[in-house]
Amino acid sequence: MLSGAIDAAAFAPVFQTFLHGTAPADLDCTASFSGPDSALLSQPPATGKPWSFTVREGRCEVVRRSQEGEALWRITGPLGFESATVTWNPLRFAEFYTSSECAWSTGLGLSLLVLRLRANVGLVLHGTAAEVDGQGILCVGISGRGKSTLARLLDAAGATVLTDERPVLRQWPAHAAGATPSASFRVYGSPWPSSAGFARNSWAPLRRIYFLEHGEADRLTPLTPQAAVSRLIHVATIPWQDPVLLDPCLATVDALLRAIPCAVLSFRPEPAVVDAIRADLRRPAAGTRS
Amino acid sequence: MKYCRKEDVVARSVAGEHLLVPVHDCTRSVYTLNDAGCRLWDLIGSPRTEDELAGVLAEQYHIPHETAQRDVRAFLDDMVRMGLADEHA
Repeated sequence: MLSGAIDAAAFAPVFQTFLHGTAPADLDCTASFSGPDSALLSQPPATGKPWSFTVREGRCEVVRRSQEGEALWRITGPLGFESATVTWNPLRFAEFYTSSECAWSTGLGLSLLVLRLRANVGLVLHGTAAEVDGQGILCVGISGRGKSTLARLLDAAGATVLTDERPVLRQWPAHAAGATPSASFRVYGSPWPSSAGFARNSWAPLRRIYFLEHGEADRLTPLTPQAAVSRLIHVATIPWQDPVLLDPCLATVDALLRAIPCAVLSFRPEPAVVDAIRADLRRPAAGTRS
Repeated sequence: MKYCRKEDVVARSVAGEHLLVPVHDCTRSVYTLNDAGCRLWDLIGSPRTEDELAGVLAEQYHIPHETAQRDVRAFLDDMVRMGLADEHA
């Protein structure tokens, strides 16, 4: 729910299905756009620190800075981020983003989503996600590993691509006590697409995590949960700057990797890779708790 | 010379992997430790000399003291170089 100086109709078209989707939302966040805040002008510049997170007395403050270290905007809210107040630099914000809607549709909205998910066994990652024959797959890797190429190949083969840039994961059913050892997860699309342009307001039950690599042939190499940790945390959006923020995210990573089979997927950019994925999904998962 | 871990580096275990995370660091560097490294990290929660650490490692893993000293030296070099531990005269 958005309130204050923001117009939902002014968002980019890709956002509209997310803003007006019919899927029930159980993680509302009431975001209030309060307006320019001259206090941000007096914050000392902090070059090399694009983000700062401060946790104090059950509340969290996130400040986004420009390359020059000037504060651009600030989000404050309770640790669970059921609500949030957004203020911005009266001089630099408009120059940097041109509009509130632009800010929301880039770093600001994504940050708030990460913070809202943090306490609810959820994560935002960098990767491609798709539903293949009713089963969700997450394909992750650093830039240049073929995420958008794979998204196009999956789409051409009849899969439903949820996103080619920012998949969202959540434990489902949601559990008030946090991450549980026998968790199931859903993977969702998000309104932040990459070059292939996939952004679908939908979800699938997560069955596999693939770490992408270019290869001479299509090959799947299973990974233990322990071996997958370093690979996954480098593509997960995690607020590292404070243990209070960090620990729930790491608990989610732990539950995720113990529940969902992981493999390195070396592939050639050809349609046969989708056949390899389909064959893998038909095999029973081994070595993980279901 | 004594060695001690920095206060703003936290150790966490995730899916069986031991991680060191420098909090308050925007570079989002995360380091992994093997079991012996994890033991050494615990030990340098309070200031320790290289020789003290090698003694513990040699006894716990039943390895020659010289081997333990070599491993400890490599561990401490890494920790100091990566800004995860301090050395005190």
